[in-house]
Amino acid sequence: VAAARSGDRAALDALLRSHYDRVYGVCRRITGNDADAADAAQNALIAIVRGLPRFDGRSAFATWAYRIATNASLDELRRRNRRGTVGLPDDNEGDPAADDRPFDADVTERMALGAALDRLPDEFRAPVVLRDLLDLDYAQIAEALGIPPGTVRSRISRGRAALVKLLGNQTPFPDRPSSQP
Amino acid sequence: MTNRDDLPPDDELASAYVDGELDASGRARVESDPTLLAEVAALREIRAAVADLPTPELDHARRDAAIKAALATADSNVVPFTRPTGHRWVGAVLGVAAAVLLVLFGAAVVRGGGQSSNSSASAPTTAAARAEAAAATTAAAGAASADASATLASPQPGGEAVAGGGAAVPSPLPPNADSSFKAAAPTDADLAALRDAGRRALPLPPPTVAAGCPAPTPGADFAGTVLWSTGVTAELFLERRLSPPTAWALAPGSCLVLATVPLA
Repeated sequence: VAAARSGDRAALDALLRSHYDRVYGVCRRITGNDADAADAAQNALIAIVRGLPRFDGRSAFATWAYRIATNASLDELRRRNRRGTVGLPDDNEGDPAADDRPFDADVTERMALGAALDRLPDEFRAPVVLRDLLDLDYAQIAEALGIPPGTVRSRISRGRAALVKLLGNQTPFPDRPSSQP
Repeated sequence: MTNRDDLPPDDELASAYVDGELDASGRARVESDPTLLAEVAALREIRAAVADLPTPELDHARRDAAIKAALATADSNVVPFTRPTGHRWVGAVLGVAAAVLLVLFGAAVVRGGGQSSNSSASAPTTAAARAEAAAATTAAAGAASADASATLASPQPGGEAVAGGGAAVPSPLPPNADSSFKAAAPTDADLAALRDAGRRALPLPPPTVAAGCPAPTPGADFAGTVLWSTGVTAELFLERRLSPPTAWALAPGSCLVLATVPLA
């Protein structure tokens, strides 16, 4: 890292290569598809290079780089939403666990967790990934996503419930008192 | 004693418990309920599984391209810019207000002309009236775009008239280091392409409404798109009132200014 910061191009190349896989992995999990992940990862690398002179070493380089990858991924999601498709719904809208549309047989019978994660709407997938993959707490996720911590809590809970359901358990949490008439 | 009003809804308790985000009363609530504890166990499995997901398969060609683009950034002397922060609706409201005022003012001018000459006054007849009408049209069109800039509050009556009238030339936006996270860096070749595209786009027809992004300066006109060698598409704007005329590249969607180059 020090050599890269000092302008050693070979060191910078090696640094980027050594972290690309994980950066891409973060981007892939947050964006939910390969194309957006590749764009986000590239933007993340560019941001890393530009921000390297300001990297103060107080956190591990990897942690810093993954935070940048997170920001790049969230930017990519916002861009995707602006392009026309789906905006972030209100907190009470779009509960994926309440979606009873039938899935293809291969999906319902054996869906890999990664594929299930990809199927989550952005607003649920991003907080779940930030929590479970990057180990951010609710306050940090709230800051990253620009939503209140209570909404983070709600979306993570609903996202996980949706994952359970997508993985094949149509009754994720049986006999919950609050769900009974 | 537990105050239920302070607790998350039941269907969020288990998840928050797994994440260590409950206070003592919330934890006690979960730990006293076998159903919630069963949920906790299931959610812990899901959480562990997500954390252990393998890195998705990589496209090595894209990896190499990304690293190449990032390394090119290290060689670039481009200073990224970003738009001043502020509420988008403020600009839109000001734009609409300006459009309404100008339409009313233009109508008053036209009506006044008709009264004095007592002839047909269905259209503006003076240069000033035409300029006001053009400005009103421009302002209304701008206000209708996604992000009307604050400059629409004081629209200029047409590019050529302003250039000839010696109006104050707007300054480029100030550099903002924080935008570096989001700006995709053009290479030297990209800047050359931007410069060439800008030259080819001059002169533009009268004020053009931006396709996706608001104009970076009051007089800048949208002039198409340019494609970086890194695959980034940028919206091209031209500011003819600067000396020399300047081309801007904005990232669609985020509308961040990626680069600006003089056309001299």
